[in-house]
Amino acid sequence: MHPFRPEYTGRHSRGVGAPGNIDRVPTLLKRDEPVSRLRAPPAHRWGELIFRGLASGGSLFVLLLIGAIALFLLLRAGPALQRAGWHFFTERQWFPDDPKARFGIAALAFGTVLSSLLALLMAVPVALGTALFLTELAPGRIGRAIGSLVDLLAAVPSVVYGLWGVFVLVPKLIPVERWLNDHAGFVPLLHNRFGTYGRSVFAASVVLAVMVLPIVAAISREVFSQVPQANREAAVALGATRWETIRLAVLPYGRSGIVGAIMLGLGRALGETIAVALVLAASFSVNLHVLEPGGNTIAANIATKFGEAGSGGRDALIASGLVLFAITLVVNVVARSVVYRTALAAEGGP
Amino acid sequence: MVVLCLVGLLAAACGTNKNSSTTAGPKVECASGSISGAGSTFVQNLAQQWIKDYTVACPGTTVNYQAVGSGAGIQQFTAGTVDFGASDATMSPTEEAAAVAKGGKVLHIPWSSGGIAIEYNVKGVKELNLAPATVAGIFAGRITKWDDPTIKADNQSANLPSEGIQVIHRSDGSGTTASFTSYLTAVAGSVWTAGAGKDVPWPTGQGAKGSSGVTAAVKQAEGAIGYAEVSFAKGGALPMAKVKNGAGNFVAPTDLAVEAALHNDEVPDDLKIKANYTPSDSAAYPISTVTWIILFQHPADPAKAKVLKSFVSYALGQGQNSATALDYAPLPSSVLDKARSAVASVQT
Repeated sequence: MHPFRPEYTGRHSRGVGAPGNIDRVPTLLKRDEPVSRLRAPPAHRWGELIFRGLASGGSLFVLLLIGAIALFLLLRAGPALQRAGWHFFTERQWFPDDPKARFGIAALAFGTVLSSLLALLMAVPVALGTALFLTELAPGRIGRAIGSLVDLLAAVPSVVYGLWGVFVLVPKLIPVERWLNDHAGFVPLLHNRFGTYGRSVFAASVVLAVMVLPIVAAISREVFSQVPQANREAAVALGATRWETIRLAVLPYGRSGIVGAIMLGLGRALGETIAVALVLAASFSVNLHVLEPGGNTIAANIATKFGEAGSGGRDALIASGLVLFAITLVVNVVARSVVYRTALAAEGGP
Repeated sequence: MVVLCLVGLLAAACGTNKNSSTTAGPKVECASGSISGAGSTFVQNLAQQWIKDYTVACPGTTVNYQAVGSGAGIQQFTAGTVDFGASDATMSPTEEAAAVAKGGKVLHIPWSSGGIAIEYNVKGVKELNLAPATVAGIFAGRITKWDDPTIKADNQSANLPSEGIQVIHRSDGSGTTASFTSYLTAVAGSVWTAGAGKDVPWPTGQGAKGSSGVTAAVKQAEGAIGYAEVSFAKGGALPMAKVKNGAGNFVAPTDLAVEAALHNDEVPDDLKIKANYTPSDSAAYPISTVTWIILFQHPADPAKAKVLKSFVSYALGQGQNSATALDYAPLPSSVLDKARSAVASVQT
């Protein structure tokens, strides 16, 4: 045994030769388990094993859970999909319990995507602005205070947002919607053909935007606060103004994080249920005129129709849930690949 | 200490309640145990009141009621997860067959009723008379302005504006919608062609979730009209239209007017009352709904059967006195007698 290379595998691993030496450290080691504690102490090894088991078990469980949800959706949606055939993707109406059942997700999927995109359009600039203000401009204490207020927005239950939307926001939005139609009605999207305002896709999107805002803002704030101070200082040293510093040093560094934040926000908007169900004047039309009352989303439709659905109706609702599941999955996969690519680009180039 | 005080307070509160609520009717025959039910949202307020009063009168019993919707209530009842269902519509033949296969004969026992109000929001119009064909015309989207001659014909003195009508209907499936559309189909089938059911293809208008959602939407939109149970219209402080009945009178949806209409209904032996939408009674309000409790004639658990029987007897007895204050209509004696004998037939 080489005297200068400590061996951590053998019983007398310190290479000190005589067993008698052990007795010199009686406070540390008992006679029966002398040196073994020094190589891989059992307590630690157990901790290691338990941790590994818990961590891998946990992630495996999440995988199983997603698999089980997908399986449940597929199995329960099967009969409804069979009943509706391809019409499930083209039909707008939702009467699955009628003797002459006709139901499909055309209007629902359209409304889901439209309202979520509109919500992002409104929320993302505000959220990024908030995050930049909090990390780059606001003095520390004020930044933290406002930051926790923004986080508080995320803690409000969605049904509260829904009730607030119906009773407070919608009446206040009516003049705004009217103004938009009067002054920007030449844009087809903002044209209202009926002259009635209120519980429109636009109103629902505003509520969704408020709900998405704290998520995007909180994550972007985290991302921006990770930007190394040296990057900022380098930009300032080159004579950059504040905006230039943000543009040159902060935003490129946080690009993939921002995309991730937006996608998480989109996920929230796509799946939001009760707030949308309360605010939207549910109709089953594919209508791009977002200021007109009407519209519906998959999740909101499940919430409104589930209570009185018969067995056929429930299967149909689960089938629509499967579609929502698929949409969310696609969004997540796309988001991942975008994040991955921007991360690569950030690493590879300027 | 605090716990003791709370118990003391509760006992005190219970004591006073007991005194005030046991003034009328025969004494409740109590049983001990717990039962649960699910279904109609329409009957929820009244059922909660009954449960409160009943469990005070009969300590040692618990009754749970979940207002999940009539359809879901029927499903839970058939699945056996609850001891009774509550529904604003009778079971369909397939639903009933499924339940019978599970637990034997099923009883539909009517336990309350209520009017469906037509609520509206038109500036300066406190009273509005509507003929059946006019109601159908509005909800079918054929009458689109408040100063339409057909509306004017029945409202000579009202100052009706030349404003668009916004129809608000339910976006969720509902027994209220089923009653309302059955009414429209029965009285104006040539105008109302969308059929009757818990959810129909509405020719016009905007959906809103729940009766409270409909009421809120009507309240917010100038020129709007919708339908909801009377209590919601009252809660929203919205005016309610008077509707022309079979005798040619315009009647408001008061509890007495609804009860008068029920007097006119035929009460079959299976108690699946089919509403008569053109009651000949001059004081009757024509749009109303009966709501049923659904239970097995021979519940599997005898202890639960006793509690069920006792609770439903309470609801059909003293419980009827609670109806008016909560904007439901008490059942007329013609219905109550048959309902009580149906309860008596429950085997324990």
